[in-house]
Amino acid sequence: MAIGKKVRRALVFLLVSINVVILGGCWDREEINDIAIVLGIGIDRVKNGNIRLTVEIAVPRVIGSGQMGGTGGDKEETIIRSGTGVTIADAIAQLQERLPRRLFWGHMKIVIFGEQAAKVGIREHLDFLIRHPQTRTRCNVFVGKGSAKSMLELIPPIEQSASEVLREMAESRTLMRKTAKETLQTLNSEAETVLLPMVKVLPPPKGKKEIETIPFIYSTAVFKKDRMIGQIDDYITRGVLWIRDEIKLAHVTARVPGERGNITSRMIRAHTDITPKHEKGRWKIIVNVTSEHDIILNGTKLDLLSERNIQRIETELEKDIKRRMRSALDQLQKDMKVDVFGFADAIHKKYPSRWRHLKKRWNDVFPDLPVELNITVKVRRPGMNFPPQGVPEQEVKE
Amino acid sequence: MKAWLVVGMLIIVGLIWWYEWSRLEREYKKEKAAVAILLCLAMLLGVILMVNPDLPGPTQAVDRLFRPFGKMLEK
Amino acid sequence: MENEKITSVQMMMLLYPAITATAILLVPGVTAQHAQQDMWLSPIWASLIGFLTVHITVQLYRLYPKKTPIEYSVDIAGPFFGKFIGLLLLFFYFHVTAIIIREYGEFVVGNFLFRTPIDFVMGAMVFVCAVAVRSGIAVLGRLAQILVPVVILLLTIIVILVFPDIELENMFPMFENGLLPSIMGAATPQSWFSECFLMAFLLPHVIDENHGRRWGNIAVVSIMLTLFFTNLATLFVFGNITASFVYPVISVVRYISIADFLEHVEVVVMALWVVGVFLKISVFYYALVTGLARWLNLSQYEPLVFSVGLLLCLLSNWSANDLVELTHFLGTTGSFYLSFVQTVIPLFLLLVAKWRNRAASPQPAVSHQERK
Repeated sequence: MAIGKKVRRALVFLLVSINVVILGGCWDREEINDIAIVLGIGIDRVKNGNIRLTVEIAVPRVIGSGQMGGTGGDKEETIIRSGTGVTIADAIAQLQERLPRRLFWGHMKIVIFGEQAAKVGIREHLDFLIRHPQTRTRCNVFVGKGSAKSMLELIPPIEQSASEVLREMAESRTLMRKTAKETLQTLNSEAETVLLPMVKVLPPPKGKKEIETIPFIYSTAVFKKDRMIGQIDDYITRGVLWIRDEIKLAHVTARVPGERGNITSRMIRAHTDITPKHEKGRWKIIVNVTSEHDIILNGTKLDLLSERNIQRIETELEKDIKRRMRSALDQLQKDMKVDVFGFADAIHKKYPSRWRHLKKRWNDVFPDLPVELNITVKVRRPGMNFPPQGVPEQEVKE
Repeated sequence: MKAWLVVGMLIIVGLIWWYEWSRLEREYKKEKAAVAILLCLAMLLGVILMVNPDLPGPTQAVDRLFRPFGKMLEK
Repeated sequence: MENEKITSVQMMMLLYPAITATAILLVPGVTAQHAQQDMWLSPIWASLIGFLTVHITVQLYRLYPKKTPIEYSVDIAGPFFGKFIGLLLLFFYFHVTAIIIREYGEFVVGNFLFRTPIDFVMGAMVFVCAVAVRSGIAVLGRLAQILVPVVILLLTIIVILVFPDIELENMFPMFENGLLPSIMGAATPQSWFSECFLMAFLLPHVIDENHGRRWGNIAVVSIMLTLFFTNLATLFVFGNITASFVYPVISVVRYISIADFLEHVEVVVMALWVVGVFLKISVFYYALVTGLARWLNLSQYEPLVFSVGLLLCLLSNWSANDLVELTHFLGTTGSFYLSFVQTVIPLFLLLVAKWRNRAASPQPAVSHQERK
């Protein structure tokens, strides 16, 4: 051996130590205090067709030290920056100029499209968000009434950031919820339509600053291809959700004929089956809904212990649900003529070979497609009481 | 820049050479020759790739060879 | 050559990552492009090639025990053609190992270390693999025995974590255009299955060689199941947009979010996945270096390891210009290339060997006749 054991050992040790130095993330080493964590972004269209990108960035010293609470009173927990450019990537470049830290996209929770941007088309922006290796395909997508920037600028009283507010709202599933992945999936589906939740600013209570409020989801934007063509209100939206089998939270109020007062039930779970049928050369859609409910309010004098009363209530609830679905169909199928219900996919899945021919004429066929609604409501529990409260026993109807 | 790459290559080749040489006993002539040839090949390839990084490689050759089959899977 | 031994279970554990590790990267995307919603079926078709390759390899080994393809190709095709086939195999493994290293590099640089030079990523990996290969097959076998169960466990956990996000609907309509799309989709994964031919280089070291066939088939089945479940999980999550992802599986892992709490798990996945690729490259590397040593009639292969590693680094840089070219190659011509060398050539060798054995009785390989 030409070289002694000690020298050899020293050399090995040197090699290992070199590894320790150079393998700490290689060229991509990024310290936490060098990055700006993006929580949410807003995309607006400004004059001459440019894109204005607004990002909400977490201020690390405040977020995460929640226990200390109170002391940091009016210190903002997030900051807002904007940049403009021809594309969103372009805007990011300008935005980066105005930030001391490098933008980090791994924690982005929401994307808001301004109304104008949504009307021009969202595909290009979605492409960027999906293509980017840091962003999450799980981020929630919204359309903002007015500008997206105004939504992000709000300082919500409870949550730490406007982005977090919107994410929580979407995840509570009161109305629509769409992640970037789901948006692309529906864009790529047979019908090529998208529904996105629409948000606006909740007017602040008196005495509070204009900005100290939250954005909230109040309706739904309807997209044909990637362009927004209109919007539908919350009532219609629930009808659509019901048909699409996406409803998670619903209260149904009904009146029983011959009785005074209302009955409200809460949906526990619902299931919808869309079955396309082809009969005598004509297409037909059959929508079967089964829904389980609990009664949460009884303003009538009906005793809920009686099976007959429950059946009457069930019939009325069914009618109300049917009315919602019918009005959703009226507005979207007859007026706006967009297939947001997933009928096209249902036909594609059941009759793949026939769909190939039908697809070309789908836009003509769809508005006149007969839709049969079959709804079965089961009232499972009457809440904590059987008889109506505050009614003398002799007036209670069995 | 390129000069540094050549120097880097030389250092790596030298290290491997020294390491293998020091471990091989005298009678392993064939092994030594094999190592030397492989290192020369590596050096040669390295220099060629440095001069002409876009040189068509083995992948292109195979691609040419199997093109008729590959066509079946074109999308 | 060296007399180190592994068990047949260890051989299976080496084969499993040697195929799976990169088969869950680019392959699901390519499969989805052809098979769309039937992509879950493709691994099952593809595994047929795996079984065939295992069968051929084991048959050849029975005819020529204790020999690798480099040696028995000489026995079968004569000194000139035999050496030529050996050289072909060596070139092939040089090229394929380089491509695997490149795939690994592209993946790491494309997903995690964006600004790190790819040569550095690949070089670091090759160095680690070189050290492992130098340590011999016994060490590799034991490494695999320790690491592969962890990798399998991890893949299982991923599939379970994906559960809340699955949409069974994405599977329909089944067989929209008949079975052909799913068979077309199998073209790329089948070339991965043909890599079972690596068994031929491992079998001479297996102690309980009688179980070689059984564990080879078990390896094929477990790989098939892994691909089946990962494809299914991707399809259930991404549905009609699966084909648009370069690395669908890692995108699915990124999508995982359990109760807003268990998120960003892909880093853990990555760490253990790199382990899989490490084993994969090591197995190929080992086959290549020992093959080369045998072809040159050297008494030991260790001295060649580092210099071959350097060549591999250069070759992986040379093997493709960019990710698009690499994916296109693997999705089209590469599929035929891999299975041609690893399934068709061995099949040809086997047929010739059988024919020769029948034609002339006093041939070198007699052992199989005793067995029959």
